[in-house]
Amino acid sequence: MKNNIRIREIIFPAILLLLAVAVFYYARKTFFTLILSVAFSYLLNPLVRFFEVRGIKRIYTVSVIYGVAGMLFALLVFIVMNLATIDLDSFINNWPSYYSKFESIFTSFVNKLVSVFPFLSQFKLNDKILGFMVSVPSYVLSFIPSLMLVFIIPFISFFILIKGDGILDIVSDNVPSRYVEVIYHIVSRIDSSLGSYLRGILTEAFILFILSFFGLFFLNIDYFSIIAAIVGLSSIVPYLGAIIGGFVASIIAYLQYNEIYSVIKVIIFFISIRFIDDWFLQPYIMKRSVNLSPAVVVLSLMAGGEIAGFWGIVFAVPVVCIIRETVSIIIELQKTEFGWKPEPEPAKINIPYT
Amino acid sequence: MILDRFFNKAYDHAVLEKIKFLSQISLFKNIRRKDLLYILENLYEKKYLKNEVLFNEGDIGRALFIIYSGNIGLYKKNGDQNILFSEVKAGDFIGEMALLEEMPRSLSAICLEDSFVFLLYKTNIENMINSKPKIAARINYNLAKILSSRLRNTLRSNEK
Repeated sequence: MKNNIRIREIIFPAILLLLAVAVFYYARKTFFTLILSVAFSYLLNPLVRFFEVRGIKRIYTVSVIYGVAGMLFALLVFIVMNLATIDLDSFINNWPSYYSKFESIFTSFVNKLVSVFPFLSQFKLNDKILGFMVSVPSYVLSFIPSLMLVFIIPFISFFILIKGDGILDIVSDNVPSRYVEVIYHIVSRIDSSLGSYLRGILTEAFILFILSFFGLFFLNIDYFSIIAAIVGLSSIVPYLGAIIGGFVASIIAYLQYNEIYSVIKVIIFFISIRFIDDWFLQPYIMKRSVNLSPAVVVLSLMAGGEIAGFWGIVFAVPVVCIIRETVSIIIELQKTEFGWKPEPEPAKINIPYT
Repeated sequence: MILDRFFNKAYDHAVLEKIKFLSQISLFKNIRRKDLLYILENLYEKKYLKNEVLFNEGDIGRALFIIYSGNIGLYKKNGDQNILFSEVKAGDFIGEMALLEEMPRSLSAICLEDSFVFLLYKTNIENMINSKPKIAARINYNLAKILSSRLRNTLRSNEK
């Protein structure tokens, strides 16, 4: 009888777990959308909480935020997409002429290089680089279908945000009450590290996008909105945004104007962006967050890409934040709970209370 | 009229009571209402049922518990028995040492009836030191005064 109960206790959860794993495996794309929605609602939650503690019920706060954000987003999309569409159209139209110009410059450069270093001819640099250049427009266009997520993710996040701390409540209601304190402790630690890092880096990326957008617009560089978007996205990796932006914009500026003066202007502009980032944005936006070393960020992005492709890259930094905080919590728990390394007492505690 | 009805529906009046409650806690003495809202934003809320354990003697303390409603018993272990040391009611708080250092709890806390508590973590205070130093300084100053008076009281009772 006892054995039967034990088997039932093990078999049913095991079957449920297997079913869950199977569902996750076969519907993994949907789950990634769900994970992205959870991440999006996690980013918005502090804003909702801000109004919630000021007395506005969650449903109304979320509705108003969505209404306002929707209007702003529509306006932004209208402006940016109009410019981006023009950009994309001219990009696709102009690409063949840019390509042939680039091909002639690059071929003569490689020929000179091969004449000096003959062994380079075996690498077929020409074919490799020019083959990549041909596929650039289709590569840029292949990102457009994923724009659907821009509508699906906020839709799912809406319902997650209305529910509030639902997941945390379920966990805390189903563990022995004396462990609630330590669970909230772990959540608050991860939240304080991950939340401030993500919010900081996204704000920084958005500001860099705006700066590049208007800066390149006033410098009259073609495809300024696309380059600004690239700068914004790549700013998630420290230092990379301005470097990639400067590199791409310099090439475009040279192909567009055929003179070195415009390239210098673009380079000076991106050096100033780097200084603005270092002197103003980093100290004010990132001061409350835990700094991850740029080397760690780059390595984690590479590992993320290797493990799970595009989504691996998207989630690499947050996952590293969680792992880092979890490891430091485990070390702390070992120090405190298991007494491996008790903290030293403050100095001179033997002096009596006076 | 319609606006009034909408406002009443959208506004959660329980928040006013929570803020009024926090303003009466000695740890948050002389803190402005606007700053109390910030503190409320950083508190965890949890309902414990009767006989549920908040923490046991010897557990590592990480949070301060502010009792919003209910009644909690503090017990001292004596051999196999738990002896009721003291009772804390709504408006009191326990576990203040956890805001300063993560050390073992000196007593166990068990709910004597269904209780609603706020939890304030050391991490939150540490974050406040960077983001809202004035609030953090005020809380720490109040905490130092409370600890001093509790220590004096303990010494006095030891002398007796």
